[in-house]
Amino acid sequence: MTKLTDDDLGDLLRETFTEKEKETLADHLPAATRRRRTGPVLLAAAVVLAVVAGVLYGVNRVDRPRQTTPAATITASDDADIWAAALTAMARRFEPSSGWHGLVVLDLSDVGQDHVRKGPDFSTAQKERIAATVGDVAPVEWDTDITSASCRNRQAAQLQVGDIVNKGDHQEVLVSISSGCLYGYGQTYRVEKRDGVWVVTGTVGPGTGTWPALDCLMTGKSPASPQAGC
Amino acid sequence: MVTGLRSFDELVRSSERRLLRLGVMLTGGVHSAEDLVQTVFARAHRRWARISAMEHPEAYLRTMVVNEFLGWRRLLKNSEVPLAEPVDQPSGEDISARQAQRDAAWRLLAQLPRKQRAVLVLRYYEDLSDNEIAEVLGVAPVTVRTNAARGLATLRDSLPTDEER
Repeated sequence: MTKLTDDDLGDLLRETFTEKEKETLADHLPAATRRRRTGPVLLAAAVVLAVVAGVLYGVNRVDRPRQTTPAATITASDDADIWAAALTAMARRFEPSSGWHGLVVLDLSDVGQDHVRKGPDFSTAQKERIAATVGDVAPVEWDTDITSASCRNRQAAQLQVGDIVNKGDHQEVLVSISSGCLYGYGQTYRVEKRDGVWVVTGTVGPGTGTWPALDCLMTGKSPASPQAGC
Repeated sequence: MVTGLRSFDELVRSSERRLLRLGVMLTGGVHSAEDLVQTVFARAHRRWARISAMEHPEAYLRTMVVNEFLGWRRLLKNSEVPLAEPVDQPSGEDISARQAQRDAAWRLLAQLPRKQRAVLVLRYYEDLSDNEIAEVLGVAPVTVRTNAARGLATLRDSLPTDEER
């Protein structure tokens, strides 16, 4: 019986590793690595509006996702890029003429009434990817306390994202934004991959929330005071 | 805050996929590899001030991945789940003998002691010399050679030979 020599085994191992590399990670991570999402997805856009009243500013609901086959494999990095695209769109949408001084992204993955995302915590790698993109708008900070973030800085925006809903040919994700204590808004964005880059291609349904100075911010004017509105 | 974030992000972007591949070879699975690499990135971020000053931070991350794998599996020793199916004989006649040998080798790798597997991955996947592997693992080169020899011997004894196929 002929036994394999060390050189034979070395060649075999090189072939084996090369084959496994091609199988599992040649281009994208396999579909099996897609983060599992269970059950109907209820996305409630909620940001605290008032220190005294603590009013929930808005709720948005995304219907149960259609049972569609993913058009392409989506990795944890893709998730981060999808969130980053939606966060950037929302931050840009309400960006005051003087710009945001900072963006606080809330990492509230636990199940809570005011939390729009129910999935697992952002990974460190995901945070870095998100911050790298959204950081083009303003410096990004992370917070896990919705209460502390809600009113502490009127020149910064607080943002949350919901779980990503796979719609087959595109993805949908809810983003909520608040600033100061009286500004809050939620909107579901449609995100598609074009030329290898995830980009926002539209909105889904009406946005909800309370934004006293919404009109003036939408027209590019800055409110005299966040709480007083325009 | 975002101090140093760009540089760290660049390192993550440039090394993530390579480290994931290494992680797959070490752990035998993509999910485990993702956990492994993300854990390393989290640790690296906390030590970023020191790592960023290094001449070859990518190599340091590779070392972190290997050592995290060794320590991580050690912690899970009692509840470790097999990472691959047990070795069985190839059944499909359409599968080439060489393919069957590669499949068997992959499954056997999952059953090797972690350090032996790490040595074989670093030697035959990362193409590191025994001295370089010794540096990564923090052991003497002779220990590397011993682990490699034992790992190869196990494969040799368990792999089906031409006569057995």
